[in-house]
Amino acid sequence: MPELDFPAWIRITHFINIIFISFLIRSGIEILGTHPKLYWNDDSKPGSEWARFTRKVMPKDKLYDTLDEEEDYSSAVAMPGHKQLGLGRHWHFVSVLGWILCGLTYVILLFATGEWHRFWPYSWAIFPQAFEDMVTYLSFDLPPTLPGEPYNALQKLTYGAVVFILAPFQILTGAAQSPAIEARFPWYVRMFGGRQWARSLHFLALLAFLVFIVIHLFMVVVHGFGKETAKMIFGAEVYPVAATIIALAALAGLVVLHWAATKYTLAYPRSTQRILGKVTNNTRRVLLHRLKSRQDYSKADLTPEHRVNGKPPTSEEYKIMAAHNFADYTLEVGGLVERPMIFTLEDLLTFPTKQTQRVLHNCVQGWTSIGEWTGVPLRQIVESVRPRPEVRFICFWTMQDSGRDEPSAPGSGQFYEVLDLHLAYHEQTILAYEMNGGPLPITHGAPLRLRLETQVGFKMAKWIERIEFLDDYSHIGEGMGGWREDNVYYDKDVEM
Amino acid sequence: MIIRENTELTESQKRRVLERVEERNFTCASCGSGDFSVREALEMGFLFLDEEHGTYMVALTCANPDCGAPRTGIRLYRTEFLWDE
Repeated sequence: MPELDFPAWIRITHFINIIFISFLIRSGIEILGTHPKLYWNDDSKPGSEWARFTRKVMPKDKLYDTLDEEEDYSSAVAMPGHKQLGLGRHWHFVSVLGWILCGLTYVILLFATGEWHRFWPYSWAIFPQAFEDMVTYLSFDLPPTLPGEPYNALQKLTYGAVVFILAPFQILTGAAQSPAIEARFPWYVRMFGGRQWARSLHFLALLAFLVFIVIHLFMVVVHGFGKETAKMIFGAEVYPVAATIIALAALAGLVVLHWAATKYTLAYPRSTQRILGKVTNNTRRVLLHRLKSRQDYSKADLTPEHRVNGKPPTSEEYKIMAAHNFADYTLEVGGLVERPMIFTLEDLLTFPTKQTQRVLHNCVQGWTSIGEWTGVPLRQIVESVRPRPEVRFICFWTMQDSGRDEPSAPGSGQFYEVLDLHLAYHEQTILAYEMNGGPLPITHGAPLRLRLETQVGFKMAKWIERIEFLDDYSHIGEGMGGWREDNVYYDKDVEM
Repeated sequence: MIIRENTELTESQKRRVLERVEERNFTCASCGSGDFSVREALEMGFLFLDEEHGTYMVALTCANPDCGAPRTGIRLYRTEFLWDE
């Protein structure tokens, strides 16, 4: 076994890891706060949660949506806090990329330099030895390190478990919450017991990290703060006073970094969206954007009461049209196309192809439900109107006026969402007019909504009235690619 | 689960709707006619945040064959039309 110590790369990656993991924890709490309930079922049935972090009670006699269930957490615990899911997601995804890169660097160097021996349990005897070490700690004494190694048996097993079990588990359960991965590889999310199992396990692993961090810091103090931090600053037990000063300064620096990042994010949300979005969007486009949905849940899997997000349009025209079962409904399809068309609901219902799919719906907030949707494949509408060569995007305009109809969301104006044109050609991208074998309910977007199974729910525009083909969307709204992108700083492409 | 949002009305309920139409001098916004046939009713109190419980949009079709926009509706409370004899 080579001599095991604390080379510079271990110290540097340890420090970088602290930065990323602290941002991951705070931004994770922000994400949790937007649907502060955890389930062991993919229906996310109200009342079936095993853990809740909210005192809100939802009305039974009035339609509420999951935006109404959001919690406003303080910036002291959440990044950035104050119901900013979009910005919290940007921080979470940028941090996870940094954390994974840092972790990969660490693991590669661990194996390249032989430092992996520090975690390898060479004998079963290490387990009773670790138990003895724990008893020693509980007796207010310090156990000895293993011969020729930097850790005692308990430390060796614990650090090894954090690096090789807990961290990968957290990455895998995080990936299982990506709608694109779930849609393309449904077996993968089932491996964890379902999407909500993955979310719950992700949360429990977060708690495990928090417990580890608290005990780790406590042990650093118990073993001697100066001596222990010196190992991570100078690589050996030297200059304990200097190490103490530097370590405390670094901790203060970390707090200042969080404070500054939070302040900047809340003061300049658009700039944060653009800067962090550049990093995550490019990664996402490379890894996830081309994945196609291959879901086919059974009828037995269907959620009895599919959850709802977004409130129906309150215009008089919409209410009258709904009372007439949408007999007067028309869908206008135009923009940069050779053959602009207008479809009545009857046209859509009698379209040559009628497609049904049973799929998992992922809300950006974290809840899920399983539904059966029937409608017209969007690619056939696209082929009917013949987009011009310069078309790159499709904009779905809806009958919802968010300022009027959705008081739980900040902002106003007609709700719209923009998609990349190629997503229209995905087999399970449809314009749905039926749900679970009956007419599409008003709460789910009647008479027509989009189903795009590799992305989170808000992209699937409901109450659609017009489809516009575009070569550019920068002139629409704030130019970010959708109402939620404009007003609550979500990403345009939401495969995770 | 499918929620059937519209309620089918009985003949007596439809008759009461027409009585309310007449009382209110409700006319077609498109052609001005006061003759309608009554269709279904949509309970709006649960679905729409700006509507009170027990409020319905009752679908009316203008009887004027030349009307350009015959489908309209009248807002009524449950107690005004929706009971069985």
